[in-house]
Amino acid sequence: MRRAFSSPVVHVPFTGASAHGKAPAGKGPYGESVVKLSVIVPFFNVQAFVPDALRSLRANTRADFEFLLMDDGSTDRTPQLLEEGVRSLPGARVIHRDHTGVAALRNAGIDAAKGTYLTFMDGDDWMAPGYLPQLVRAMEELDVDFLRTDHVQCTGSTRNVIRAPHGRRGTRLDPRSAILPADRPSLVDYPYSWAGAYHRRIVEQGLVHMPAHLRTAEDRPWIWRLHREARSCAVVGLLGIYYRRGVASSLTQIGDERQLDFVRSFDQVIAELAGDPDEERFLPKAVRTYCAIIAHHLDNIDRFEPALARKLKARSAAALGRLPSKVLTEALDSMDLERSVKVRRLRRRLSRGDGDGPPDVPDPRRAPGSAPNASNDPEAPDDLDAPDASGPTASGPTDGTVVA
Amino acid sequence: MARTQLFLASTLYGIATLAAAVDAGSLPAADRRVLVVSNNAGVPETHQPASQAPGFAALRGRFDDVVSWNEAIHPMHPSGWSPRADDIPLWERYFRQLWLLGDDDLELVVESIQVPPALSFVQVFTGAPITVYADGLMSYGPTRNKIGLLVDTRIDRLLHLDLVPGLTPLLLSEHGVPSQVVPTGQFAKVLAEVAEAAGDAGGDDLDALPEGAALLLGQYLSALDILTAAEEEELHLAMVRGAAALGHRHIVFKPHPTAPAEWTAPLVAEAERLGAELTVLNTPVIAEAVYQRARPALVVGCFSTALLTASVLYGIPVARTGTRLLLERLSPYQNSNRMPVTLVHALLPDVSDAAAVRDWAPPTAEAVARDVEPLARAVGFCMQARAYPHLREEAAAWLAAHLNAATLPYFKRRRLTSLGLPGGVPAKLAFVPRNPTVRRVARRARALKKALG
Repeated sequence: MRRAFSSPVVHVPFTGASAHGKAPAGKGPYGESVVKLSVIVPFFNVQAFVPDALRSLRANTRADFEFLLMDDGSTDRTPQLLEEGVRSLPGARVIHRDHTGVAALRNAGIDAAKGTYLTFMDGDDWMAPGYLPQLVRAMEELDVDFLRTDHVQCTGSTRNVIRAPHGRRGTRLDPRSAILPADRPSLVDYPYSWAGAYHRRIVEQGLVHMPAHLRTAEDRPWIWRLHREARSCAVVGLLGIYYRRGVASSLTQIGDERQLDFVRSFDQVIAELAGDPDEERFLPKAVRTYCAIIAHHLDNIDRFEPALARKLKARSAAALGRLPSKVLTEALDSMDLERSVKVRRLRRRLSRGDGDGPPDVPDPRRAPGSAPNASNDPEAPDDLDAPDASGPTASGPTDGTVVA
Repeated sequence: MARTQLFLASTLYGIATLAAAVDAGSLPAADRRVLVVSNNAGVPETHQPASQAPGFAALRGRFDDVVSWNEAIHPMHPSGWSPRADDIPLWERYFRQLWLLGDDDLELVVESIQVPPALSFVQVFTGAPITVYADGLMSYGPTRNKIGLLVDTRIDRLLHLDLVPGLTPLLLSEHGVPSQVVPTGQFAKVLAEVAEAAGDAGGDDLDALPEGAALLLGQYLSALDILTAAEEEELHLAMVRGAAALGHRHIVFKPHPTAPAEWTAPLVAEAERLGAELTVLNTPVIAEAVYQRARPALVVGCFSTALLTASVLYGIPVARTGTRLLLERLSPYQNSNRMPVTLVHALLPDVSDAAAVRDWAPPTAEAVARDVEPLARAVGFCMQARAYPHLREEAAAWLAAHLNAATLPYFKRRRLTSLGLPGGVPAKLAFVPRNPTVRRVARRARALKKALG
């Protein structure tokens, strides 16, 4: 079994024709048709990518699959393209909603989904032909609460294979034990909802729903809760999801106020740890990741307007002040010097009592607009499986999970 | 030892060219012929490879095996993957095992050798002799990149279609690679087979098209950021207006295969306003199959190679539009599309000039050699001056004699200046671009201008 899922997707030639009908439609005890897999696909102003997304779904249809095309109040041609495309995509329906943000949009999709299994795909990404049947087979054979899978990151024609940070494939794992260790990347640092599948039984427990009040990094509390509360998981090596990087509309590209929500997001991760039987063991991991994200934002602070940059520093400093001091000190001690220095500076600022203090004088050595390339950043989510990743390599903001 | 030929192709047009070359005996004999199909679409996972294009069945028989390059290098993209130099022995072993090539002597036949996938492909098979076949009009242009001595020293020949009789390709000529024509008659025969086989391919029925219509070939240049969507629509509207002004009542528009469908509504409306009927032809078949089956009376396009095949292979009158704008827009100057645009602009009549379209006849080979070849060589030199230093004198002489209002659009003042050619900034000011003080001042001025926004 392990072998079957550790090999890359067997490339099924693209036929353009749908495979719909190849699998018999299951019937429930009362004769109603049973949906095996629900695919929730959020779209927000991604007209240029809708055709590819829909074509890729068309090469993944099956009589017992449903596709929920969720339109987040798009103002471009996305809604029309979905309406046109849905007619030739068996098992699909379009759900138009007022703009709420991707977390609430995904939740609405989850509520509308009927499948035994759920999965996601972002509207500007695509999947390999025949990927979904493989995903379903993995869910059936492993019978776990949720599944994580590797993916392919695409920047133009440059592609990188991004691995879920766990070595054991195709076998049941304890999701709680996969949170640790604290000092290396682990599965909670791979928060992409679309890189996996979820069983109905944890949907019903509310574990797959996302915190809708967060505008970014909503997948952090989500993945932590998933790993803390689900009973079983597995990692498979399917390379069937293609994540489009460098898309202008992607939230990570812009220095937007919404980015600052990472503070609320991690505060929630920390708050929800309270009372967990392993709180003491998990807290260092969460705090370390928090610090790594703060360091990531400090590294890329030039993409923010000065006022927003000040806000970022003030909120980060305040956040550091809320963390348990001893755990924070240990986390900083375990980080590499370059990153920890920046965070320590913020922390000292707080202890001086000027967390919301006067505006920072911009660093004269760094010209505006010369922001370091995020892809060279050790915190960037893309470097999760960097061979020598010795730091926590926590992901930056929710690159990829947000269609904004 | 067994001799195996590996053919790398990404389009049906390219495979048809290969089939014609095989039929005509343009290639050495081989014990086994393997077609390696590469799907170079931006998202190959959602687009058909050429081996599934309608009409491919007619070509399949020329090859003993058909394999997929994308599958072999999955999950990498053909345009993005190349082997690390030190890993090449491993890759060669892998591909030989994957495609059951054993220890065969290999011969490689590839298109667009300057870039992956072709460049990666030939790099993997160290030492195998190479034949390059040309994709359309680009063969008349210069080689875009350096290929590397381990590759450019083992190219035997350049096979190309005689799309502009009288014109010799520049491509690879700097390495002394001889060019060889794939016989036009043989190519036409292959296309007829493709058209026949494409008949029941799905899409709109070609036989139902009105006889003697004007066929408009759509472009999708806005996808490449060469034109804006609005400019592209205007370009298509100009085709409709030109065809209507020439008295065509039946107009058939063949959209670019990857262009969004909804773009055609304004064209239908414009045709109606002008008293013509416009049919949108939704079919995945190549333009040549449409020529063969529907016999249009006029083909209008921008700078598609299919304009030349319409004229050369089928004797159909042709017209162009938008090439002037493209000559200006193509950037940088060495953009590989420049030669196709240059040739179409120089050879074909503008569709908005009804008299010119009516009076037009394909130029003779002598006229091309006299008028077009020197222009093409001058443009080619300006595009890649370093690779073709031997063309400098010829280009300078031609420019000195022929640069005028009509020919200036083919060049850019800035480029002529930096190359020190006639038409650039006058010779007495030629020190300007090279003078460090002047450059420093210019740089400051530019920075200041930028800072002031």
